[in-house]
Amino acid sequence: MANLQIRISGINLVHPLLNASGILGSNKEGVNLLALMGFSGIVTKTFTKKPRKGYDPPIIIPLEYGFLNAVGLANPGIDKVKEVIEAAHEHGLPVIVSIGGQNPDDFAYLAGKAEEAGADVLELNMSCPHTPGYGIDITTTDKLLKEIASSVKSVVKIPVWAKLGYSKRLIKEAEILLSEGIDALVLINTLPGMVIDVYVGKPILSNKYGGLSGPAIHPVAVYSVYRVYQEFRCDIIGVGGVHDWKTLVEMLMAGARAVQIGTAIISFNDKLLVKRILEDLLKYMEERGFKDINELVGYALD
Amino acid sequence: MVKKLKNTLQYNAISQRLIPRYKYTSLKLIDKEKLSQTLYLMRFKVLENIGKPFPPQFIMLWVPGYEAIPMSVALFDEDNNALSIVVKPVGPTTNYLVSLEPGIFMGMYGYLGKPCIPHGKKYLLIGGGSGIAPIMHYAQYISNHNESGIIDILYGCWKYEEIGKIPLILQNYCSTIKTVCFSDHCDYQGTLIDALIKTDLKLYDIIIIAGPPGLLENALKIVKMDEDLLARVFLVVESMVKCGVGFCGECIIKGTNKLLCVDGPCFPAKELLYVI
Repeated sequence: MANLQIRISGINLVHPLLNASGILGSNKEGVNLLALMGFSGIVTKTFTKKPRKGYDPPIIIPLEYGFLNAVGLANPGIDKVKEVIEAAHEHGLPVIVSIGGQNPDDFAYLAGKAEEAGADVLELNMSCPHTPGYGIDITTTDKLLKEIASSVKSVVKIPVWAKLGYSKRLIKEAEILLSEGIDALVLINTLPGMVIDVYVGKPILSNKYGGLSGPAIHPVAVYSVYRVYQEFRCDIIGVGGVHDWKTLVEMLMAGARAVQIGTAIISFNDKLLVKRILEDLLKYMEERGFKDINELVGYALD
Repeated sequence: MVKKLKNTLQYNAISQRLIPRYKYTSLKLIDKEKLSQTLYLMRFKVLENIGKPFPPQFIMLWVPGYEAIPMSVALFDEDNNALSIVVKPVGPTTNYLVSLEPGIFMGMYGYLGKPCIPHGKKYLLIGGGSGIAPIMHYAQYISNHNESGIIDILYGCWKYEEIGKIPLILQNYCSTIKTVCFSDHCDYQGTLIDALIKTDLKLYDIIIIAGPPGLLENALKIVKMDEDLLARVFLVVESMVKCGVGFCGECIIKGTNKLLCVDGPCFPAKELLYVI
């Protein structure tokens, strides 16, 4: 059987499939659900300094081509992260704690708290498209990006990933973050979007706009991974519309070393999704003569 | 060569399009009826074909200007692609909702939750207050799909004025309906639990109970002593639902690995024995 183990930013994963941040991982029951699905590591929901209630429903709209969501970074606050980490560790899984701050000091504080609570990796949410004061709002300048990255790297020893959305500045942002010692990039976050009910005549989400995920953004994600890998040959975790062996292989061939799955979890409600994808991946690798998943990483590049 | 081709087709076939199981659609309010002192029946035309609901599935109803709220489907008219819900005005959104007149548009996505239709010949359906909505859907569905099925219904409220027209609607879909309240006008006096104690539950293949947490908790206390009876009881659980699709985790049932919005809202009583 072909090898599916990967090592990314110094962390070993038994296979390349992680959940995407935002799906379930804000309490121990949710983490248990993710662990039972078979992911090789658990990515938590984004934790902020204080608890956040998030937006009122509707916070999500199912679409033919994915989901549009605006949850508003609802989470119980960083002081509750320990129980989430412990729940994942009980399953023997590494925990990637997603954190979201409003300035470099926030990020440094959250990073320290998460590491102290036992996080194995940090994922900096620099790209949530729908929560004013967070995500894309605080990464608008090179200076801020640089300061957030350096402030976090200066306080923790564990690997730090940074999650970015697609923008025309993507290559520049990647360059800044990598030069500040960020260990891997998570590409891409949801893209900003809006859906209007034409009978009601208003945007449907309570926040009016949200983040688009799923098949609609998959080609954008593949392109983003390809371009960044082409430029920097860095560790990349691909996110965006991965739901079967084919979309997974695409991401790997573009340069991702691991992938995160979000929309597919809720679209299929298939508790065996991870198992099925891995079984199909192995069939593909066997037929195409790949002995090791690492051979697929960046395969599509010239 | 042929073998290779077969292999390729085999895994190509497994590759699947990612189509969400749920859909969003606009709705048009076409009818509103006051059922009782506290409940309204609101009927909507579903403007797109999003499939049909099975009991006890629910929708996230978007009330523009307010919020989206989880509502059980109470009745479904397949010929006209129209659904009805039961609304109890308790907060700003539901109070506004019942003030609306036919002709207004809103939105929904669904159908959410897992269909749960236990098979049997004799059903006892028990609904308390606005928990009658999924019971109405069960009664309609079973009477339409299980011609030999016998359906008895127990419907309970605190006051007689809350019973209203619900028995009149339900009588189209059941063999008998008994009302329960603290008035002499009801068939049983007291709570639904009092009525449950007086009912010979062994007569029924399937017992489905929907209502507030206190009702479910007390019903479970009664049936859990008898293993055979317990296996025939199903509970339709109410909980805080925020996204309805298993995304936010708000409706995780503590002590289980289950999400109400995805794995429920109906569960075999034995699965909730140590939970509620």
